[in-house]
Amino acid sequence: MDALLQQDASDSQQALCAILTENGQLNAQQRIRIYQNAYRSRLFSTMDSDYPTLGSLLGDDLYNPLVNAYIDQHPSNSPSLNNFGAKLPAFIHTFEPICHQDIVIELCDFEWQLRQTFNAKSAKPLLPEYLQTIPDTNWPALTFKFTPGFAIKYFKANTCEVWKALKEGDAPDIQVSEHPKPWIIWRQDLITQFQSIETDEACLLELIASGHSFENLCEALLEWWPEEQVPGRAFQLLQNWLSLGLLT
Amino acid sequence: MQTISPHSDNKPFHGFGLGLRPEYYQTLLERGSPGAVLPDKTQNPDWLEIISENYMVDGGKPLYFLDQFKERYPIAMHGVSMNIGSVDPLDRQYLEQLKTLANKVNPIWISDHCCWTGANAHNAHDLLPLPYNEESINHIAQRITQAQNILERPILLENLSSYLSFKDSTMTEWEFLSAICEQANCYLLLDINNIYVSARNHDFDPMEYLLGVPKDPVLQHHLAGHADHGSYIIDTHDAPIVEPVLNLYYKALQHFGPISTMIERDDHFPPLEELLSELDQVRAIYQSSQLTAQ
Repeated sequence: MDALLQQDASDSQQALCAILTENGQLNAQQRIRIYQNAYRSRLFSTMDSDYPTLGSLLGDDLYNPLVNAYIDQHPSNSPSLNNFGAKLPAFIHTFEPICHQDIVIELCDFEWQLRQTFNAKSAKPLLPEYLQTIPDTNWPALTFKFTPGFAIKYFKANTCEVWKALKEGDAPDIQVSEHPKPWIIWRQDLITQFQSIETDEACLLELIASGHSFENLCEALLEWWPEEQVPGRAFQLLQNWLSLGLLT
Repeated sequence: MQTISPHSDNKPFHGFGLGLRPEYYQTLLERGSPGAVLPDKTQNPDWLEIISENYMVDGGKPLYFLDQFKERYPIAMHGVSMNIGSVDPLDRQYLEQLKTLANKVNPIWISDHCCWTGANAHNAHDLLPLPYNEESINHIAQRITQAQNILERPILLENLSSYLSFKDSTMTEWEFLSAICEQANCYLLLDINNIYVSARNHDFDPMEYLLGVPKDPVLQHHLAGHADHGSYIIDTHDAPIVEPVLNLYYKALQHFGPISTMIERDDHFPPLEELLSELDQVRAIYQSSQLTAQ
């Protein structure tokens, strides 16, 4: 099959030509070239659709070699193209000369996460009223579960602003700070959402992701808040997460 | 196993459909709502065809909209990844997922292509042709039987647009398809544009193709536009259907009788009204063909 898809598979291409009929106005090599072009074009379109702004950020001179190298290194092994682009965020770390650019790496990661969140399984989120139904004695051991597609990301660059600018066709004003800032990405009904969050909030969401209880969350908040303010902060965060539809 | 109908004149006829694409979700839903007033003179599609693989996902927008559409329109499931002609073992997981989707959608039928799409676990995501000979017939027919057993329903097999052919072929494409249908007891989705494209690319008479296909197994027609490069044609689904294809369709209707027909559009999407107007043109060709049918 490589002879039919890869433009540099010259030995196997000769063997393929030998078994093809010569008819009509095209020779065997021209006929093979139609399939080769279609293969690459189809996978390119998939990447363009999975990473709608990465190409604008990089420009054709960097984006095209990146995608070509990715297609060569990670040929599809699934009947569906839904996950074809899944390995690009890891692959981009190895691709000179862009592998050291925070904005490129983060934008790639962000775009794939948007896609994952968009396609995540639907689930009914808990409503804010849920908190009133929990008996006092159950609060310390209470654990939470995120709606499918929820993710926390840490970006050094102003990645989400850059993404928005590129989506609107504007020139992005790229800024990179030394310390990564936390962002959350999730889906509310059919709309994919993202927003920046505070450091204590990110810490609590990470604790929830690893199965920690409400009591553990309150203990963690002591790092940022005086003891008397911890219950108020914990409750405020919980209310907010429920109103955003983060928990199920 | 469910049956559509035995190979006979008693074929289901669903009228004239469109390929369901995200670009048209909103407009089609609004037009298909109960009591909706149509904003123009075009008719709604009678049915919709989905690309099965696009809905074999965990959730999100595709499945949300599919739930809405299946309440309003009959749905056909059309796949591109069954890989029925490959020498790789049949992908049982894929077929189980397809069956799960079918159980959810309750489609009028399931179709895929008479081709291979990959080998050695490498997927080409293209519809690749086979040598047309006895060995391929036996190979494909046996795999269709396996697939139909897993899906618990017969499938429709679609003819390809192809750009190359093999010295090992010992028969025409239409003889090949006819033999597979008979041996595997499956049906045919006869793509009229693909016949035209392949006829130009391989220099055969498209009428000979039409007349060479047995009538009974044909349950559906596809129509689409293509890109004509002079010495060859590429099946692109990105343009209106050209007149020679519509003429061929007219002859197909005269020969096969009423066959459920839909338009595939996969790029350069026009406003929905434009596509529906093209579908109305297809309806008019059908009506005219039935007046003069022999």
